[in-house]
Amino acid sequence: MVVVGHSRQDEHRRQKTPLAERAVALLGLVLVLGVAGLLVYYSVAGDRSPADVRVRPVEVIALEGHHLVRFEAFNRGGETAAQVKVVGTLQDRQGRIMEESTVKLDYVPSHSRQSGGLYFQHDPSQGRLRLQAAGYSDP
Amino acid sequence: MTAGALFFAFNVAPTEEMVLIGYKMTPWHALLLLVVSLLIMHAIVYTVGFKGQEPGADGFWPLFFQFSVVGYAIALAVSLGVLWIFGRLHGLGLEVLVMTVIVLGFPAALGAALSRLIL
Repeated sequence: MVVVGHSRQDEHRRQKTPLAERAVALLGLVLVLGVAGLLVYYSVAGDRSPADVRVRPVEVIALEGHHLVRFEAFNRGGETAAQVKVVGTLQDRQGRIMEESTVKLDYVPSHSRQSGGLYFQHDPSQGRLRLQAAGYSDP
Repeated sequence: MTAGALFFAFNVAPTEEMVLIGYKMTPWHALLLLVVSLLIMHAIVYTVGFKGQEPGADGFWPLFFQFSVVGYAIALAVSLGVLWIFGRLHGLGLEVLVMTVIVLGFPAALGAALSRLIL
């Protein structure tokens, strides 16, 4: 209905409106409608699944006196997780826990990634490193 | 309009709350905010009657599409740019990104509309 009214008005002011101005108006309209369309799509078909944060190590960096494990957390769920607690455990070859480090990420929004790091006294390459998200709160 | 949008958006973009609101709202909220922003922009410039109001002889729709919609598109672009400058978009998924841009787009739209009255 809106579009019909618009095109009628278009005819009406064809003579007095410069082409460049009409082009810009069209560009703006396309942009705003695009954003609105995207929001409608997310409202109707968007992912509303609970937050599901997966953590994977990216690299291990040896620093003076300790080791840094850089990790990346990715939220596969449709809801945002806040205060995400990431726990890294380092086990020796017999499966005994040698060391545990934790860190808290402020936010891991839906379908988004956040990165961070954990420090270990022992060398992670000497044992088995496991990273996981222990829990989160709703934002 | 860009200047006004920048002026308002730069002040609030570095704060945590803008992003937090984007996380907490649903797409329906964002859609409503988009419509409200657009209407408020149009109202400020053409109908409320502040000093410096533009003469609205052209009728509602031409004005709305030639100025208000374009102005809001500018406000959204400024919002996106400012968020990017402050590193707020790093790693964000598209849905959250769009919603955050809409949230910051509201003050940016107000700034854009007010700057049209002043300049």
